Amino acid sequence: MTVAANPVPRTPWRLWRSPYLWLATIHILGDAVVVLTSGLLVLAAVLVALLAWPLGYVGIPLSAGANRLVYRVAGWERARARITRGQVIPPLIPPQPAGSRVADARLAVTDRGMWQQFLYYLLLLPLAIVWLVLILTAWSVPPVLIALPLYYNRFAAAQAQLGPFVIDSVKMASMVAIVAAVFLLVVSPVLIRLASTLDAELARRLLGRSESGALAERVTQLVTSRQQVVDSVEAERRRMERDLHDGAQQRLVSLAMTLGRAKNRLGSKEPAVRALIEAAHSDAMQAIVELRDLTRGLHPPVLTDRGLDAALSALAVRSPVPMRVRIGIHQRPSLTIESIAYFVVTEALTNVAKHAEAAHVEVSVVRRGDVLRVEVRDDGQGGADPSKGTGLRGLTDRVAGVDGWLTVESPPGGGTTLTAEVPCGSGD
Amino acid sequence: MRVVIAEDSVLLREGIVRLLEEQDCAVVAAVGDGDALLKAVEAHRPDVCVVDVRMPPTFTDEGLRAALVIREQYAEVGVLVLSQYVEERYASELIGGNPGGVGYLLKDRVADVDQFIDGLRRVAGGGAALDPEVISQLLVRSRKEDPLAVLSPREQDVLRAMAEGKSNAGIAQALVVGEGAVEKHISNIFLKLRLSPTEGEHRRVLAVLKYLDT
Repeated sequence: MTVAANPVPRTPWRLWRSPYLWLATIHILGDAVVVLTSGLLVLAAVLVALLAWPLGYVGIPLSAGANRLVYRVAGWERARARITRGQVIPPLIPPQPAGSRVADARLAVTDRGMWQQFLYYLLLLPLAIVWLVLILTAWSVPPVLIALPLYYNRFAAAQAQLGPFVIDSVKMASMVAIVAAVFLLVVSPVLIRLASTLDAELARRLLGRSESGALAERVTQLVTSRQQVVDSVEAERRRMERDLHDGAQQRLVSLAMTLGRAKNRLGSKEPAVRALIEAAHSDAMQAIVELRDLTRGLHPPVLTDRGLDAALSALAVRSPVPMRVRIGIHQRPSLTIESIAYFVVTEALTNVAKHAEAAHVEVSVVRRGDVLRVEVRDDGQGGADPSKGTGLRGLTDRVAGVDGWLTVESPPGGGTTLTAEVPCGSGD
Repeated sequence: MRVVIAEDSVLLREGIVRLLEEQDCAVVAAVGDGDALLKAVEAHRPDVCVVDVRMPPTFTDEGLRAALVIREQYAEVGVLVLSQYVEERYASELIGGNPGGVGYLLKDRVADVDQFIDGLRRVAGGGAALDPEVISQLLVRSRKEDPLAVLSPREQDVLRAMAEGKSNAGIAQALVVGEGAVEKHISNIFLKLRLSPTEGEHRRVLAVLKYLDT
């Protein structure tokens, strides 16, 4: 994606009137300087990244640092392109830290972006030499030749030798001068434009990311960040459950216990006070029960501790509709996936209890390879409309958040089957 | 009755200690995690220990695992496990094949001082104290295979109360019936579950096992 700030003039006379010509000249002239400074820096960095990596403890951070340096130096080059050519090059994205230092170092050395940018500086070396020759040809030689009529006779034997041509008269010198002037006016700008275009193309290809590459990059980024969001939501629920457990729940139990002790100590004395204490006690007990339902709804700890099997068996107990559970999970999926599968079942069961008027409900959670399939089937009245009811919508969103899908099949009179599949390949 | 308490919340730990001392129980140690519990049990050999399921360092089932170790290594020490949630899975693991000297109660049962002390004494004496919620969970699990379908709902209520560790008088009180009626229900249960009279008082445990084990 290269966007020039101003369109590049095409014809020589337009080129002459545009600052582009001079900026482009300066840019390609600058290539030589860049090769000698940035180029050497990048070469050194790549060598360090390569050589330091096997050094272990000292080398690993060096290697990752060298990788970062390459991106940084390439950034200067992109900035130069923007200033002189108005060329905007979307920067390559450095490798994201993988967590462990060894993995970071491996990433640093095998990183495609680094090598691509290194290649740019490598190619720039011969190119810069070509550009120097070209600039000499375009800007220095013609003026020298234009002035030929003034000095051709000062050479030995009063003649100048231009390749096979011998210039020994004003007429011939003037012809050369005219050709040189035409060259300067018409050919030189075009030459510079060609060189600059080529130079820009090289920078675009090697210093920037391609459009589809950029999109792929973006998708990867989005997938990662979405995964992080989903994971952090689930982690947050677990944290809230734990905070309530360690805080309010303990305090309430302690309160109820104190009231219980007070009640006991009072015995049969002061019946009026005792009645008050009893009321407070039963309120406290009720609060404990309500809070327990709330925290269990957030995240049942047994799910983390023992997995879906145990958590779903516990659900079977609470279900008002008789429920059969079939679990086929040989390897536990990630906590997030377990949590989502669990809430698919609880929400489905809530719906069954509320609307289905079912006599039985069957829950099956089976892992086949990298897919976890959750099915809740009841023998109720059917006719459920999944577009109604926020519970099911929220569930669909939650399943979609991990690239899963959810369907509800509910013919009138034919029971309701809710099916969800979530990928759990990355589960550990 | 000598008691060891393992509970990581200082608030609750202190509360339970005071509650037990008021009830003339000797709290020989009060600790905050599973390892300390095992050490305290080794050192004091209490009659019973009160154990919270969730304790440091993992805050998952630390207490339950310590409880299982105690049940395996110190058969004479009763274990009463307390938790904010009761889970059928944990109950099954805890009871194993032996519903003696074991208890599993919701934490808030502590607030009902008399019942709690009652349960604690039963566990210390080699009996059982299971939370009504645990029992109903285990019953539902059993219902799947239905070995108790032969029992009438009332008899199931009685069996459930038995599993909680209640005496006949306790059952009568809980179900608001006479003790005679309870005895009749119990003998029906024994009959239906084919537990012969020669097995004596032990039949109570067997009856309870019958449905915990199915």
